[in-house]
Amino acid sequence: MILEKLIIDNFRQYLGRQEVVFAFGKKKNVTLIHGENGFGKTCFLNALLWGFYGSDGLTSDLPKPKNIIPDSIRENCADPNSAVSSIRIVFKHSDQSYDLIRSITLAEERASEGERTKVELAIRRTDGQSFISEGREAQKIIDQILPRDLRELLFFNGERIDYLAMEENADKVREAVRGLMGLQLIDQTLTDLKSPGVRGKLTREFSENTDQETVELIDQQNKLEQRLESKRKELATCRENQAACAEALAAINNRLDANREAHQLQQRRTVLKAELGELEKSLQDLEKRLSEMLANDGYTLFCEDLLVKGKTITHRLRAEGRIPARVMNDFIHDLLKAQVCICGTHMPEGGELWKKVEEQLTKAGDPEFNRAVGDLDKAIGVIETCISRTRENLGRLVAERSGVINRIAQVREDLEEIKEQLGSKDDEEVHKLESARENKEIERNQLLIDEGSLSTQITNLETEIRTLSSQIQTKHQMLAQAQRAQRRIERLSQVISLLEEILRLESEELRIELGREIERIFRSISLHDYKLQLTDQFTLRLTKLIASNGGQVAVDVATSTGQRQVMSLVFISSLVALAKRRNEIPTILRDLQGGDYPLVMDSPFGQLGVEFRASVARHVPELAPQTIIMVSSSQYMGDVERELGASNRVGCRYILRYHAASKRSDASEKVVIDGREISIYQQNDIEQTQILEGEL
Amino acid sequence: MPEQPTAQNSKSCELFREAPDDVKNLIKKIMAKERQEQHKGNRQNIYQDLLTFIRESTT
Repeated sequence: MILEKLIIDNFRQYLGRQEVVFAFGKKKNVTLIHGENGFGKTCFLNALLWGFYGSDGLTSDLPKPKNIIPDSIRENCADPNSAVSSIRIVFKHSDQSYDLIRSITLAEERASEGERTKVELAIRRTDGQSFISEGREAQKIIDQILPRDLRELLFFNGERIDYLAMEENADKVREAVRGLMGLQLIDQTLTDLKSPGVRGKLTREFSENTDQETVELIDQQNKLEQRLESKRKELATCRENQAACAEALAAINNRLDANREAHQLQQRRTVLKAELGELEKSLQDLEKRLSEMLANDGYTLFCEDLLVKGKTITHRLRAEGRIPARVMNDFIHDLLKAQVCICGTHMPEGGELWKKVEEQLTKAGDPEFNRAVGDLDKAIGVIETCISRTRENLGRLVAERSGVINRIAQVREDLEEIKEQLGSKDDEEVHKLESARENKEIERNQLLIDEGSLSTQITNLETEIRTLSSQIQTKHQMLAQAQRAQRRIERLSQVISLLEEILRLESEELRIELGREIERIFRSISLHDYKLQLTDQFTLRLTKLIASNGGQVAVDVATSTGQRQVMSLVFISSLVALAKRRNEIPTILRDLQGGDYPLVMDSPFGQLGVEFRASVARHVPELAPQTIIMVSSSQYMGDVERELGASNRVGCRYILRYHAASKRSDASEKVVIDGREISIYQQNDIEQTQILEGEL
Repeated sequence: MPEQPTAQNSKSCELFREAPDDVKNLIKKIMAKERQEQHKGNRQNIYQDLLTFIRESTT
C-alpha cells in the first residue's frame, strides 16, 4: 500500500477542506509534517486511522474520541444533518487504485449506539474496470488490505511503540509476521474448513447414514479428538515454555559466567553439567544393554537345578544301556511286517519264531527318544557355557553401572556445593542470578515431567481413537453412503493436517528470515557492541558483548524505553522490508499479500537517546518504501535535521499552524526550518489547525 | 493466482510436493477459492464451494 493523498474536511481541529499529497517513489519517499506539541500531530495521525477504520481505529491517547465534528461547528450548528466531517484517502495497493471516503454527520455522531460512519470505496482494477463498494463490504476490503492488527505497526506514536520489545507481547509479534506476510490466508482457510459449514456438515451427513450405536461411537470419537487436539496444544505450549526456559537459563548462565565473583564456580559448573549429561547418557545406555542381556540370556541363571536333573537322567539312561540303543524298534517292526527273520528264515505271523522276535520290541530303542536325549545333551552343554558367560557379563555391566551411578551422585553433590557457594556470596547480583537460575531449573524439571505426562496421554488417546475408528469402520462396511461420507471426512482431515503443518513451517521460515533482517538493520543503526535478535519464541532480545577471560560473552541488556523504542522500530521496518520481498521467499502460495507498506510515525525520535537519534534519522528513508514522519521542532533540530537533509529523500513537507486562544508553554510561536523562519501560532478564539505546504 | 509450489527449496514446499496428488489438487482448488473470495464477509457461499470440492475429490 502506498498513500497518495489525504483530504481532511472538518475533522476535529482541522477546519474546512485541507489537502496533503504524500511523497512516494525510490528517490523521494519521505513526507515531513512539522508540528509543535498540542498543534495537531496526533490528530493528523488519527485522521488517517479514522479514514481507514472509523472510531475503532483511533489511538487510545486521543482525548474525546467520539467528537469527530469540530467543536466550533458542533456548538453553532442549527441542522445536525448538515454538519459533516469527512476524510478521503487515495492510495494504491497491488497495482490497484483505491479512493476511500468516510464521513459522519453531527446527527450520526450524536446517535449513541455503534459506528454510524458512511464508507465508500472506489476501486480501479489493473484491467481498467472500476467498481464502488460501500458500507460493510467496503470495510471488509479495507480490513483485508490493511488488517486492523497491523494498524498499530504501520501507523504509530513513536513514543509508545516500545511495548513490542517486551517479552509478554511475543504473540503480537508472531501475529504481525503472519498478518503482513499473507499467511492469514492459510489461517482463514483452516478456520473455514473446520467450521460447522464444512466439517460440521460432512460429519452430519455421516451421522445421518448410520445407526444409533454408531452415532454414539462417532460422538465418542469426536470428543476424544477434541481432547487430543487440546492435549496437543498443551504439549506444544509446554515445549515452547521449555525452549523459553532453556533460553532464560542460558542467559542467566552467561551473566553468571560474565560476573567476576561467580566466573570460576560457573565455569566449573558448566564442566560438571556437561559431564553429568554424558554420565546420564552412559547410564541409559548401560541400562539398555543390561535389560537386553537379561532378556536374551537371563533365564540361564535360573537353570542350574534343571541342568543337574537333566544330566542325572541321561547318565542313568546310559548306565541302563537304553541309550544309545543297539537295535531300533522300527527295524523289528519291519521284520514282523515282512514275516522274515534277520537270518532269512520265514516266520509266519503269530508263530513261535514270530513271537520271539516280537518280544525284542521291549528291549529295542525308540529313535525319536534317542534323538531327543541327544538334543538334551547338546542343550545342557550350550546352557552350561552360556551360564558362565552371562554371569561374567552381568557382573561387568552391574559394576560399570554402579560406577556411573556413584559418579553421578558425586557430580550432583559437587553441583549442589557450587549452588550453595554461589548462593552464599555477598554479591547481590550473583545472589539474584543464582536464585533466578534455581527457579528456572525447577520450572524446567516440572515442564519435563509435564511433557512426559502429556505425551503418554496423547499416545493413549490416539490408541483409543484408532480402536473406535476401526469399530466404526467395521459397522459401516455395508453402508456405501456412510463410507463415502467417512472418506470425505478423512480427506478433509488430511487437508487440514497438511495445511496446519505448512502454516507452522512457513511461520518458522519467515521467523528465520525476519531474524536476519532485524540483525542486519539493527547493525546498521546501532552501536557495534549491541546485538538484536528475534528468538524462537518471537521475542526481541537485546544483548551486549562484554569482555570475559580474553573472549567476549553476549549478555542480556536490561532495556530502557529508548532502547525498546529502537528495537520496536527495527522490528517494524524489518517486517516492512520482508513484506516488500515477500515473493522471493519460498511458499506454497504464490502471490501472497505483501509488497509495499508505508510507515506513518508520530514523534519517532521523542524518547531516543543521543546514541540512537542520529543513526535512526539517517536510516529513516530506508525503513520503508514510504515514510511519513511527524516531528516537533525540538525533536527535529540538530541531528535529525542534519541527517534527513543529507539523505536528500524528503519529497514533501508540511507545517501545522495552530490557531487558538492559548498554546502550551513548551510550544514555540515561530520555528526555523532549514534556515527559514515560519510563524506557526496565531492567537484566535476559534481553535483550528491549518496545514501549510512547506518549502524543500 | 497462488497455489503452485515454487521451485525454491523450503520445508513447506517439500512437504506439499510429497503429498498425494489428489490431496494437492484439492488444496490448490480450495486455496484458489479462498484467494478469490478473500474480501467477502459472508462465508456461507464459500463453505458450499469448499464442500463441493471435497465431494468431487472423493467420489
